Amino acid sequence: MIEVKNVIKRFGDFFALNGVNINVEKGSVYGLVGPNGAGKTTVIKCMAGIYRQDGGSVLIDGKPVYENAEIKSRVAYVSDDLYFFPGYSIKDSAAYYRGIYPNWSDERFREIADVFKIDEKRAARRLSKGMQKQAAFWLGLSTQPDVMILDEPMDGLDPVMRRNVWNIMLAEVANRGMTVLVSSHNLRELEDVCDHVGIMNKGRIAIEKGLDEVKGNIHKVQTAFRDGLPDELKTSLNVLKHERAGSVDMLIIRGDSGEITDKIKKYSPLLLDVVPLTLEEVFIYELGGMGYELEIID
Amino acid sequence: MSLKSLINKSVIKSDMRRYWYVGVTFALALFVVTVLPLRSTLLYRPDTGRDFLHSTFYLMAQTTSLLIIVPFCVITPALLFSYLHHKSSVCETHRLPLRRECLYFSHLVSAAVLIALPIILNAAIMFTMVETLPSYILLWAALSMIYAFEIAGFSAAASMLVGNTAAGVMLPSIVMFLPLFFTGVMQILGTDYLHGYVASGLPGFMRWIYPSYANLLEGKMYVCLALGIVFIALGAWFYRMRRLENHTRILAFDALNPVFMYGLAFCAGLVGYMYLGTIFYDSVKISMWIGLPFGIIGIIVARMIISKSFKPTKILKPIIIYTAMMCVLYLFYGADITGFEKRVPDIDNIASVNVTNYSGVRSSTNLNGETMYTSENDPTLYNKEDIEKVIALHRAIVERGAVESENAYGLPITYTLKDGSEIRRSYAVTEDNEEVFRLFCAVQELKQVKCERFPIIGDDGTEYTNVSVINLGALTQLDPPRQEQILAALKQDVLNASYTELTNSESITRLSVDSRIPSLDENMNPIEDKSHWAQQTLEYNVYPSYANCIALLKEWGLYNIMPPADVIDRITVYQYTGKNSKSAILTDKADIEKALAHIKANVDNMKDIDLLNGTYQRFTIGYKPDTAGYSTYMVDAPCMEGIVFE
Repeated sequence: MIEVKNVIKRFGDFFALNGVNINVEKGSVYGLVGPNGAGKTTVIKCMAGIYRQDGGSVLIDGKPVYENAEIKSRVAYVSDDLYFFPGYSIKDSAAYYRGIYPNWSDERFREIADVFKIDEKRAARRLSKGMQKQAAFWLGLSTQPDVMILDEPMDGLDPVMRRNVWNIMLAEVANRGMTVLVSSHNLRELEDVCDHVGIMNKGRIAIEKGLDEVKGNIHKVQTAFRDGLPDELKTSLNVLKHERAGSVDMLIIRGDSGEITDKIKKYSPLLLDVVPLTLEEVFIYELGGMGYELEIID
Repeated sequence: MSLKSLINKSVIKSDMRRYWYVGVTFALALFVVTVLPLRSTLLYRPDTGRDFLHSTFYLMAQTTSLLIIVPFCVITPALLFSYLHHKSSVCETHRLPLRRECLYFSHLVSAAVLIALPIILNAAIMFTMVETLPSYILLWAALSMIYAFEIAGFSAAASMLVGNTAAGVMLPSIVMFLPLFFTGVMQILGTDYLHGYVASGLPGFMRWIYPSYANLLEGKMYVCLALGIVFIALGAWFYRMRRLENHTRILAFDALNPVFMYGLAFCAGLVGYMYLGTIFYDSVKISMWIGLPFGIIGIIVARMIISKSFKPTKILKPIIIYTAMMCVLYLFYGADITGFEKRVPDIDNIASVNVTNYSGVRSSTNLNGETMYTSENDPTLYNKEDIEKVIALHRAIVERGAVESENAYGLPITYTLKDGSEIRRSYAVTEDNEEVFRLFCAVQELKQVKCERFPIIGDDGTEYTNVSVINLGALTQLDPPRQEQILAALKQDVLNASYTELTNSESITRLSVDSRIPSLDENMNPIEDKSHWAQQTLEYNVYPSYANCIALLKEWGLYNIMPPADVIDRITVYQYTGKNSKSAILTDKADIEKALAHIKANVDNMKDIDLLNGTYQRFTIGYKPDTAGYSTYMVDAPCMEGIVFE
């Protein structure tokens, strides 16, 4: 559905994107995560057809997005930095979009109005940040997009409204096969909705996998041995992090959980406990492995 | 690409809703500068003739409405494209399923509506007021829209080059001003540093940057239209190439940074030169270098603006380049590396030369605002011997070098070379250098040259209709036979007179000659009907050397006849000494007679008067009511005795 191939984007001498590859399948919810300055917003703006990439290609359904009105009419983009025309109400904005988006649906606009409960005649610029976000979702969803690209979408929304918005979007995913790409620092939330995750760092995609695969490939192991952790065991494992508390060793290990367990069991541990990691922990340990300043995060 | 894909109604409607006030303000401004003055003219002069009304409207529309059209046509596109200058608005707009071309042309349609509607509206109002002049109003509306189209196209293209709205308004204004500015700079430097340099008028191409309605009326409005189209096409291309992330920067394209930087440096350098250059005016080598430190300041400021920081970076290379450019400028002007000052064309390359500021065809505007063309004596020299005299004079002047004098004669020289190109020079000639002055007089005494000041000696077909003799304000009409006699005598006397004799500018007796000059129509074709020729009245002083004229006038009792004191009401005497002056009014008959005798004795030495620093007198003679008019004479002589000044 969305293919980002070797995309390069420079701002002067600085490479914001340095060969990014992203592949989002139709009907999936793709979480794009990464530290500040990783290039998430830049790649999203390339996907939304706002920025022209300096190299590589950004395709939706095999067609370039940039300057492609037909493709862009199927994409809704909710940015972190919203803009409404001065003096325009939501109703005015809806009238504006009606003349621009061929798939605009007044019926859908009325349906979603019940969820957001905002006076559509109020000037959008006078709404709170959270209400402006709701308005942006309201208008975006009314264009009946095939792709929704969201940049920090839930920032400013209260928990109930977050849930409501996600419910609407996931219903669109389920019913119409809408594809969602969402960039957020709220990894707990992404963990609940995403089926694929891409981790960006320094203008590149470091990891791109299904959420289960990402989480299944890295494990927190708590173990204890009579004479301490054998060196040969530690070297045989892909250990990302090792901490010792008393006689208990806590290891973050990349690899298949069965293989890890088998290897450890050979050394007859007194304690062996394999704990699944949250997405946030995966994010921290993976980036830690790439030189990101894990110590500060800790 | 269909029209639908280029223009989106929603975008236009949105523009109209957000920027309606621009159109309304423009309409009101046009109403104030066009409709109201026209209404006022009609109210207070209901009998206004068509031609007068046309000329009034024409002048008003040319001066005032253009001043209104230009700023509105710059501001309107700049506002419509201001969304490009903010991060959130640029993202919101460009995420929409609209191609850049569609956004661009939709906004241009909005601009066209906001600009054209006010013009049409005001034209319609004027239409209802002045039913007899619809064609002029239509023409005004059409020309205004064409010019607006060019300016708005230019502003739209400029808006694509900048990163913020203020720069979007400033850039077209600066760029429109730049050709005028740089032409001025070149002319100032040329005038200051190159001996013989002629500061000519604006280059021809500028009439399309700063067109007048007269230019547009010449049928060349298509050039404006074409330029508008070119600007709009360029704007579309700039928009396509524009990197949207460059919002908030001064210039959206890095390639323009040097243009901005060196432009600012030259402007700053020129300001410094204009401000401080006169301190070192006597030393060419120093004064031009004043532009260097000021220009460097300009570079530093430009770098600060570009980088939006008070710590300018990357300034060393531009400073070196700017210094090199200043060296080139110095060599060009200060050291005359091109040999401009010494250049005297070879006679074999010269087709003709003109040492006056006139050609054979002159134009003037009559009371109806119509342009009249007359075909008069052509002062151009084609004869090889005549051209050689000019070259000899030119060489002598070049050899002599520049002179500073307040009592100098102007000498313009325009060579037309055989390849069609022109060489123009302008010099000052004084009597101090005898050789130069002798050659100068020889050129001035050539018939074609003398003809320029004394057309009576020409043979351009002028028809003389009347000749009168004026003696200190008293006019005597001559009968036709005497007119013919005096004209023949005058012609002979002027031909015989030397240049120095002809530089006297006062005499008691003058000849007033009325004539009709051969005229041309708009297409420069001769007008056969003499009743449509331009009329002219010239006064010729009868100098002491005019033997033929004086003989006839003496015979008729009309030479140096002072008016009787009885017809004079008063004589006002102004006494000038350097920059000081005092005056006295003479009303007593004896004083008036005394003053008349003083004028008669001294009137022919006007040429010696130093108007700036000399001591001289001016007499203004006021006649009694039954003898209308007054006359003024200047006399270089010791002050009359017995005058009590105020």
